[in-house]
Amino acid sequence: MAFEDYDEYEQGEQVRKWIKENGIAVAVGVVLALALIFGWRKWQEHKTNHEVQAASQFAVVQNAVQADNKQAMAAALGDLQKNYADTTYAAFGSAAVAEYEVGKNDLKPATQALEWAVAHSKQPALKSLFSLRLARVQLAQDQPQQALTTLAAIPPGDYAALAAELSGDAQLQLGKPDAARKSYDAALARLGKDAPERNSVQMKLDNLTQPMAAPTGSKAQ
Amino acid sequence: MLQAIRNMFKNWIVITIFGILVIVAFLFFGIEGYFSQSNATWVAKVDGHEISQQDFNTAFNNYRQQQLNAPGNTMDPADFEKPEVKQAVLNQVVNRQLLLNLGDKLGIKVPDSLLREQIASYPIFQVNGKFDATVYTSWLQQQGKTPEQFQDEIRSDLATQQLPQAIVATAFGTKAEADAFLRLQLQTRDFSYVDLPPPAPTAAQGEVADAEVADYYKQHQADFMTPEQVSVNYIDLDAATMKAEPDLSDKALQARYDKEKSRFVSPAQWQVSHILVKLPAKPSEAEKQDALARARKIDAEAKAPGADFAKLAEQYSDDLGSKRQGGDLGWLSQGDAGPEFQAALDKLKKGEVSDPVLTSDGYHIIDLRDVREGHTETFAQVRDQLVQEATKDARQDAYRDVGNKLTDMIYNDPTSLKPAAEKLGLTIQTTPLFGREGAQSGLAADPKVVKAAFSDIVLQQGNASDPIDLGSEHMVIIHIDKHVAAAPKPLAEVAGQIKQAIIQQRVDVDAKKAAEAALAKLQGGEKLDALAAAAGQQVQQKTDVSRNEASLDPELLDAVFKLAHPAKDADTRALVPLAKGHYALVVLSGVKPGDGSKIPEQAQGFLREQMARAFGAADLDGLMDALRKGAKIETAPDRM
Repeated sequence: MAFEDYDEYEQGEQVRKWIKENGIAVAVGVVLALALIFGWRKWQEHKTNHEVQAASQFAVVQNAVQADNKQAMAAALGDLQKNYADTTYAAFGSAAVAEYEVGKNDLKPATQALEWAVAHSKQPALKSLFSLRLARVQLAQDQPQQALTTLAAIPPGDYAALAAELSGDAQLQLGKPDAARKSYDAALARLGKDAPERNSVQMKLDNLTQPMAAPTGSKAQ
Repeated sequence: MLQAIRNMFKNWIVITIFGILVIVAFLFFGIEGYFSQSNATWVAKVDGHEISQQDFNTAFNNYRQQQLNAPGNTMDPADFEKPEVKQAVLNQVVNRQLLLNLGDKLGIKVPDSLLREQIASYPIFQVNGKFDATVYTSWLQQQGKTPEQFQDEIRSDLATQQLPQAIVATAFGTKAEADAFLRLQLQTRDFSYVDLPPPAPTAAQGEVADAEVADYYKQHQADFMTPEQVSVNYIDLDAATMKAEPDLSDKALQARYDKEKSRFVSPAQWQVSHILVKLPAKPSEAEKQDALARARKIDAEAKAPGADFAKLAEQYSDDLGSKRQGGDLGWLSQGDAGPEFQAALDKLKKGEVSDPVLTSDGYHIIDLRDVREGHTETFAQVRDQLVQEATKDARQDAYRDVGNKLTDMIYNDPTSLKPAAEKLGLTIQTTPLFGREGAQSGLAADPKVVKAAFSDIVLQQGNASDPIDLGSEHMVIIHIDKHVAAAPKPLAEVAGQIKQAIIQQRVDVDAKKAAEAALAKLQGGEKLDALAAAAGQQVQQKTDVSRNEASLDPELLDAVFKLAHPAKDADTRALVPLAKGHYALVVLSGVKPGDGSKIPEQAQGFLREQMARAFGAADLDGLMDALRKGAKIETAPDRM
């Protein structure tokens, strides 16, 4: 029997009955959904606040670097790495401190800061960027093998010219001029025709010219 | 039991259905705008984010402004229609969107404090170096923007800049890198060399048959072409030389003088101090008497010999504005003061103090400290100037008038300059022939004219050019006169040149053979001086030569620095081809690394900063490449 066949009173009764049976379920459904929406919004708000705080803490690190204030720098970086490790600002805070330490020729703490940045970057292109910097600091400490390991983690094709040049530097440090020559060649191939880095890479390559299989003993005409 | 489960199950269905209803209601509330948009208008789409035509146009106009205003600009407005220019701007816009998307994903935030600082730092919102809220609001009104809109623009600008700035700011150059660079850059090399000049041509080599010349001519046709040249007819319109008939009658000049009289009049001015005895708004008679009595007393003191008016003003004056400055009102002109005050001034002489003067404010005692007499240049005095100005104005009017007519007529019939020139009484001039590199002097020395002369409109279509702006109120319109296509020069004209080239080729072959033979001997162990003597040359001995040694042939130097390092207790022997058929036999005996520590510390610091900047820029390029590779980018060039 269809709903319309009941008279008004009966219809009312039907509705009342349905509500009696299902009312609580409806209410629970509505409340759960509202709680979900509210919770999601709260979470968004929390995330935004968290990021804004991280941004201002990063500014503190940058100001401390500017002011050459090591204590304030360490405190702000500690806070960033501890409480905001999930934000990009923590990685850049570490990079800022690494820049400061490299400037002071303190390569150990610079290495640590960059290792932290690499380990905590989820965005691949930024992770690669910090890896390149880490490899350069490792090279500066005569650690070519570590530098090669760091470079190997960069997806092929990303920062190709820079990565190839650094591989060449590492191979040269390892006493492998042939491999270094190939790397510099690859770097030049990846560099634009008027890239400003061309000259210095070319200079590195030219310094590794292979001795000709010169026939020193060949007879003279 | 089963019933209970069934009930429970039924309940969960109801709960889920209503829950979803509520969420759907919230999600889609206020979202209908997304569905009503039916026509796609984006010019690019970066990972689903659309760049609208409007955004692109804004970026494009900014780019155009920048380029046109840049010093040494050679682009003319037509260049901006080229697809490659639009593509370059599109790349910029896409890069910006890539950075915005990345910032979004990484949670890059622009704190309100940063936004405030940024807005406050713009000089246009500042008064006396400080941010001024009223200036800011009125500027926003002028631009028709709400504060929120403007702040959003700045916020997204800052959001796109934050990452690149952070990348560049954290870039570095290590000391090891700087040292390694200096070891190479400052490297010196020890070597000796012998210059082997090309031999003189033999008698047989000097004989060149006509057939050989003809053959060479055929094979090297491209080397013996006359350049493509054009000459153009042009109408030159210059306000400075326009024919104009200004009305120089006295009547007209007088009218001009009257109209601009204020320019010729320097008004009278009075330097004044005063002491005010204030009256209430509606003074009673008693109050008036009282004030006047006080004013007279002060006046008497001020008029006493040796009185210090400034001090009296500080003591007595009711004018709070001037009291502290000793009553000083500065220089007043006609109309600055009220009529009663002015009337009193007119009667005073320099250095005199007035009797009390009644104005609506109260009684003033006026000290006239200095007077500048007004001065008017008479019509006769400025007549010459007026004649010049009238002539200049008339020329400019004529320029605008004739210029507009000319432009219109050429626009309507671009096939010839003649009708317009005849109608407007202008002369058509003609340039001599010139090539794409332009002429040394005359009209064709202007790159804009050359570009227009070889443009599609003028050269191919044979139409008149658009007006070419040559500076303030000076333009030309050009039309092709003659076009001389590139053509081979006649053989007779270049035969001598070809003969020389053939002889040179023959000699070069011999020179190369001789040089290679000498290298073989050198490598075979023969001494360099013996080889030098055989060639009738001297050995040049060079030690500690740096890369940029100015006294040596750069070609030789470049080659020497590319030679392999000599092995231990040995040297590197090589042959270096030089210009004009010369060869150098080179023996490289030593390579010494450069010593960076000899460079002043400050210069080392600069080098590291420079390296940091270069690495920062390379990092940023690499990042953009990686982002581009990883993003889904669609473009719609037809909508640009």
